[in-house]
Amino acid sequence: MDPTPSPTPVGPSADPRSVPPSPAAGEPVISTSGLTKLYRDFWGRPRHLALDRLDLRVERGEIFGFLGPNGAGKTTTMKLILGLIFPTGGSARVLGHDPRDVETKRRIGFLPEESYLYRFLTAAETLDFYGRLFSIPRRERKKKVDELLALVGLAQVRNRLVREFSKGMARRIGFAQALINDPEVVILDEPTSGLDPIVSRQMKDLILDLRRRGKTVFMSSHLLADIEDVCDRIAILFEGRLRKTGTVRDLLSIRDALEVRLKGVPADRVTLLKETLSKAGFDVANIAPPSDTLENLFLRTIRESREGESQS
Amino acid sequence: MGPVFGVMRLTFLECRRKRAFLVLFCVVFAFVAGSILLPATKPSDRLYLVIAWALRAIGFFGMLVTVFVTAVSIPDDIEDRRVFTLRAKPLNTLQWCGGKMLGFAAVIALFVAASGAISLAYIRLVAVVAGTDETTSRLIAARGRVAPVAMSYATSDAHGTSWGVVEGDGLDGAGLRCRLAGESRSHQFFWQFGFLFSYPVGDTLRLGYRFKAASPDNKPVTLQFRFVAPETKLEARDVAEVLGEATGSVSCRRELIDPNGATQVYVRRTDSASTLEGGPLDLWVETTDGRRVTALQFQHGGDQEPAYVVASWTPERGTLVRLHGPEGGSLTWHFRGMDRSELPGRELDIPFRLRVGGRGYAAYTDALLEVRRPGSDDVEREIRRLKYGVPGTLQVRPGLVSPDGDCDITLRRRYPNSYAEVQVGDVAFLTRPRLFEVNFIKALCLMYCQLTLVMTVTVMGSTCLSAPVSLFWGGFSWLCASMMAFLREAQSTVEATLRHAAAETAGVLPTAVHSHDPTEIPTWMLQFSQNVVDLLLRIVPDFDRFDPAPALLKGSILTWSQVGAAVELLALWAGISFVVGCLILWRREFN
Repeated sequence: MDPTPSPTPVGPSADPRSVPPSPAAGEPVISTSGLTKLYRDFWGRPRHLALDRLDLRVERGEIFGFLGPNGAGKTTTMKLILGLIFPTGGSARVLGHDPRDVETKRRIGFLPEESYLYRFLTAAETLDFYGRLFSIPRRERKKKVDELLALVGLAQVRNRLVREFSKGMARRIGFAQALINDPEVVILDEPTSGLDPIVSRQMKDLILDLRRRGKTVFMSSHLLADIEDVCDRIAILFEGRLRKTGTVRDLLSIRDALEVRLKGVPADRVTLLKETLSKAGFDVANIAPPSDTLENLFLRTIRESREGESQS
Repeated sequence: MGPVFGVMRLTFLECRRKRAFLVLFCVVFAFVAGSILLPATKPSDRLYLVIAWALRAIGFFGMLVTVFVTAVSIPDDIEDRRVFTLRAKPLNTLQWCGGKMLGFAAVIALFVAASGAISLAYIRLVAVVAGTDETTSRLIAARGRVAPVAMSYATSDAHGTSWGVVEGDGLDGAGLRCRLAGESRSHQFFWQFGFLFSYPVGDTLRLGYRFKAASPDNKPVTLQFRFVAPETKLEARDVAEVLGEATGSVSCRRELIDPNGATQVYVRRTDSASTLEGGPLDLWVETTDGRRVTALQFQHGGDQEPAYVVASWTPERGTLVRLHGPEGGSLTWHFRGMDRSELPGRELDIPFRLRVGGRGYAAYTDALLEVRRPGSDDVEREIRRLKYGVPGTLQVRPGLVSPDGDCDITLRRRYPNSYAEVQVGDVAFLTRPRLFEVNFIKALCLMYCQLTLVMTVTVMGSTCLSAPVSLFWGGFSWLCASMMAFLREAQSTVEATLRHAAAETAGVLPTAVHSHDPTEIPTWMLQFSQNVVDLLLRIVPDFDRFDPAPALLKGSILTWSQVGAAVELLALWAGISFVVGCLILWRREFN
């Protein structure tokens, strides 16, 4: 999967007549106000409060992470933002419009939790179908399909049925369909769940690439490392209520502590270092060699193995 | 329209790539080809079977395809959560539902067209083997025949007059009504019964009758019944007096049934000034368990020369009318309500094949043929030399057919002692040149309309039901629409019963055999069920009206107006289903 080629902006987004105006500068791309969803049973009796008075703002050009354990209300929020379900209370706006506004959906890309694809279609047919829904002209659609298949690394299997795809391949084709219209806002529900670390990294690189191109990304996940890696701001949801929101740096920084990294310190000088700092009046919490993340180690190992194989 | 065609194409691909679709298609092919195993004594009978079999197979398996592919598509999209991706795109409810319906319509069209093409090819193959006998010509004629609705005859001789009318194709005994007038000793009705030992007739043979009699002074007409056992020549007589429309019974000894179980009954009037009307089913044997046994043969006319038998009927051959004796008499074929668009625009062709002969049983004679526009003086006459059983064709102006499609064709003999022996179907109008293929395509169109109607109703149901319930709903809709004919029949029976009940209550009618027994089902309940049935007949479409099989198997032409009526019904139901389906999807949440 090569994240370098970026899809050309094509399709209806190029036609100013068919696209509703963007929100004014400073206006959030996605906003919710007191958004509430109460599920009821067949007889209309309250069954489960999935979302409780959610207030949220997602600004243009940022990657917003939506964190929470299973059942916290992340997917419900996304369905409300996409107009798939109706709110019990409050409201949601996407690009300044009602979520059910069809024209606004021309500027949104959505990847659901599992790709939910038509198993009887091939990879190319799948993208072609979603391209048709955006009324993209045939020639442009074909070009776009080729580009996206190359982007997600599925060009070689373009004529294979989706039912024969592995989970990672299905996820990638799902990601490609979310980008078929070159959207302004990309909504990703658990984009890396169930993927191996390599594909997961590629997926995250793609998300970062979207930000570089000025897109707004709203993603949910319960994989904290993924959120930490890519998101600018996050919100933590628990039992349907917003518990915390802010930039990743602000939320993760420990304000009353300082981390200093020294290179080339021999083992016998560590005690001396600790004593020196203590004498200077600092409360030393920990002095130990720094460790890499497991993900980095895994990716490095795979990369080295590949390089070794290619040389031999 | 891009999204609509996108969804339509997707739906088409989805159905086409389903194994069930291919399996059902193969089953239709196997069924049509398997008709070769059906028992048929002649190749032309096989042709009949193949046509019937192919139409039923396409109709039934088409229904299965329709229900199976349409009932699961939308519920699967929702249950497999593909709807999340779909509805996150700029696709509104109208486009989604419309695209689905168009896709299904295309799949059904593919199925009907493909199975129709296979069937047609097979029918043509069987037709080649069958040759060009009468059945084959009737089934796949190059030009259709429009049969008369009735044939009437009138003849008189020195002894009396006979008059009658045959309605329908002449096979049904109820369609033949005959009248005796004039000299009373020669003109008579005759019935022959058979196999009477198969029925419980009791010690006395009891015969019921239903006649219409009239006399100038309005006095009862005396009828003379003569019973004959054909084998033993035993005879007995009885009399009855009738006036107006009368029913009654006469009886004779059981010995009048001969050892073969046969009995003959002759009925004649004693008064020459009176008239008597009856038909094949107007005299019957009453069994001890209350059943009626009708005759195996009926004749109307004289029993000796020159007053010869005028009309005879048997269940196998139908009605045969014969004019004989002194000059005079006429035969008229009545054509009513013909579809003028089906007739040629310039010259009308009327083929005939008459069994006529001349003096001394010569195989030919001259006859006057008249073609008349009913209710006017517009008539064309032509004297033709006719040969026994040799087909000929009359060519007349289209103006002789009235705007309502009515026309009468009369045959008159020119010479004494020439004879004519005819049936209703001996004269017909030829339609415009047509191909059997065109008729078959019209039949496929009718079936396509039925299937598409089921599809729209199933799609409507599937917007709010799960896949298994939608399957049931689709099958149920088809079943309901297919059973409307039974409901209509039941409604007419209940209606007649209610009419009788009302008349009895008002004291208008004497209590009759078919009267309503209030102890069985209360009238209010019948009335209630009648209202329910009325409502159902208004709401549910009747597929029987658009069943092409009866017409095709008779060799009749299916008109484009029939197809148009089916399309109208389809459009109405498709519109209703589409609107309701869209409303449901619009208000539905996708969890």
